[in-house]
Amino acid sequence: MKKFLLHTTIFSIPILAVVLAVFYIANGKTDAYYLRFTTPQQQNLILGTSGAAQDLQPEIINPIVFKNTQQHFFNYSFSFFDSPFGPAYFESIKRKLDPATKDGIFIIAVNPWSIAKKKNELDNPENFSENKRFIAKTKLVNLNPNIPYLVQSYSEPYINIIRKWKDSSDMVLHEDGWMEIDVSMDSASVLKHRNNKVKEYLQDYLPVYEFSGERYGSLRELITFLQNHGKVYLVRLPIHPVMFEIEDKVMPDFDDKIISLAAACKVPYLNFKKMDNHYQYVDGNHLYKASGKEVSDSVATWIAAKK
Amino acid sequence: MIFNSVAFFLFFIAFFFIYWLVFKQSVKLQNIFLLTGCYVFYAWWDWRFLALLAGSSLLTYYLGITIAKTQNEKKRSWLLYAGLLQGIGLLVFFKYYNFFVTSFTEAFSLLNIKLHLQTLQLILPLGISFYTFRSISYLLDINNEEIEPTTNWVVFFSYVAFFPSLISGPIDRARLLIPQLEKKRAFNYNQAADGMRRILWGMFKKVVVADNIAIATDQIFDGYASMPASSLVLGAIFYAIQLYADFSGYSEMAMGFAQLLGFKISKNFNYPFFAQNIAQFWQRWHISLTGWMTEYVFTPLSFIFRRSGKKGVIAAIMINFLIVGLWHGSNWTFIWFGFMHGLYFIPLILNGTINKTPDIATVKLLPSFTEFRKIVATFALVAATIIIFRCGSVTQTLQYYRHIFSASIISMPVFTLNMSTIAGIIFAVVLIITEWLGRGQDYAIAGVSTRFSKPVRWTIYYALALAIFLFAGKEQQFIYLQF
Repeated sequence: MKKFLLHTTIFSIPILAVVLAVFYIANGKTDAYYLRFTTPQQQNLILGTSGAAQDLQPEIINPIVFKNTQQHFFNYSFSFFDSPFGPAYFESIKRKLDPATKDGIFIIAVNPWSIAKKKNELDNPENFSENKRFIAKTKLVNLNPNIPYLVQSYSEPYINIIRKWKDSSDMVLHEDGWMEIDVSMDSASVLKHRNNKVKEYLQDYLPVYEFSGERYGSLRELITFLQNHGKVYLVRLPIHPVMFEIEDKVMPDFDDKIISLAAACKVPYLNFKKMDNHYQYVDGNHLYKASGKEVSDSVATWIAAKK
Repeated sequence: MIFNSVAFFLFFIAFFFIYWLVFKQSVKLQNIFLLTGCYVFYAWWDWRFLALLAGSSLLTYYLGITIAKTQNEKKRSWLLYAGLLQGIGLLVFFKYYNFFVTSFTEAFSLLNIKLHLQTLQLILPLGISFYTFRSISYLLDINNEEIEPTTNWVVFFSYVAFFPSLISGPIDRARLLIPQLEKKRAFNYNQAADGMRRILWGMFKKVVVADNIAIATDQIFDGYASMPASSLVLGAIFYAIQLYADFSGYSEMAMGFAQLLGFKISKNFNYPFFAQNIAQFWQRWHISLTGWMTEYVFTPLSFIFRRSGKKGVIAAIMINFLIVGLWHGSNWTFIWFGFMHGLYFIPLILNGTINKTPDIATVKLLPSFTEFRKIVATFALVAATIIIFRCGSVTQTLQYYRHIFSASIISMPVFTLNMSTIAGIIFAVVLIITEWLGRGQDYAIAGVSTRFSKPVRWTIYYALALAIFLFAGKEQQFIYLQF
């Protein structure tokens, strides 16, 4: 037995060393989410789905909102599938938020998809699909390297961590949580991406999704919770007009719902749907980074004025 | 808690240490702990079916003792029938009830007769096909006076629920496992080291080959309608490799874990892709099921049909393979699959060549042209029917075949190549070459320990371990868990 244990241990040590080394080099190119679970607890958060993750750049917002202080935002937004409003995302936010925060600023990006559920599913938080995804499974959100996340939720072979480590990727997740996407912006590519996105939403999502009272309630609960730690600002980010049309079909009274929620919770609401839509989109519902800068600037200026 | 999960890894490490360090002095305590481990393992999946497993084991245990004690032949038969009814009844109820109801309703509706039979919302208890077959063989062996029943309920319950092989086999016979459970087990370095090697090889097959090639397979089978025929042929080949790597990988791991606990369980695969005809294939594929079916279905049927000569053998084979097909699941595709394999046997029976083809000498580096031709032909037959196995319905299978028999068969296969699919294909080639070179041994890398020096040996182990870590595909269930 001793010999067996000794040999097994000797054999395992180099393997463990390689495992740890690979986990150690995981970075913002590893995947679209990992880095957000490796930073310390935060005081000011940007929350929402992939639109918020790609559009709102803390680097642009920080100097306008926080002026010369050490305060900064952290973008803790994920995607339509992973971070719609609901108990799983709410619990994850609680874990990411520094509990001592008293005067934090929280930007919550809202859109119809973030308060929608599939029509064939019960409107019951226990059935929400994100309960089986990393947002619910990752209990430790402030760990570097975040081994539980890499073991449980990293969906690619680990060789990709090495492959992407120094790779000039078109996707980089920054330390502040902003996801930078660098794609070709020639008009043909943009049109192709947008058409694909529109087709996807029309075929796969529009007929399938509807308003969820539970998610709407969860958004309200989140706002109330965050108000105990600072000020909350609701934002509906710009998307291409064609995508706005689809959102209007899936939830025609979305704005009324958010306006009434904002009034009930006494939080300001900035709606880009009502504003001039001159931005560049990589695919219809995510801004190109230059436009993202512009929108981040507008959001920051609005918050600074409301503070 | 599947073998390739972190949960099982932690469970097994804790179990291994307590089993060998705390309970090694007493076989009784070791068995109680083993049974507890088996039930914890099962409850991890779904605790609600634990009572079914325990209840079925209890009934079989008492019936076994009672059958052995009963001298009256008629009474003995009734007791046996009660046991069979219990086992087969549970299986039929949970696995086939809805299938039969739907099939009957559809069949009668063709005659314009409306049946109002209700289907039930049933969850298939995990491993039921495997543990039921173990219980049935136990009772049949006692009735045939091939084994004595055990009077130790812990031993019997542990036999039925033995966790390394509980959920996907091998279907061990009582005569193999119960004597091992009854005697004191001592830790053996060579057996344990061999077990580790098996686990390493099994894990490589499962997580590196099967899980990666599954991405290409899924892509082709999900999008077959828009793919050229050449891609569909490739899909069938990929799925044959995936199914083999998945199931044989699981079986190797099951054997390895059993060895670490001091047990030797049945071998389930013996290089089936190097078979030269379909009879050889089934002697090498899912051996524990084939052996079970041969002993309890084919042999008795052959005896019943013995006066009909070759026709009788054909009838026995056809029934045998229809049951093999049905055993896999409640779908007409599985019955069709079994039927096709039964058909494949007919030329061999008619020619009298069913067991006449010798194995390829293990010393040969390459097969002869005739051997190679036969291997390829057998693989082609298997791959052709694997499509039925993989497709979810008869309609989809027919459409898949229809797309294969089109002009696009002479075109370059099209499917998306990414890191995982490339890795899957490359490692599948590595698997086939390694299995060919190691085909004379119990498992492909068994000879590594004696054939190579320590540095080379450890380099091979490290290469496998690193491949498992770096190239493991997304954690996927074992295919045979659904059966």
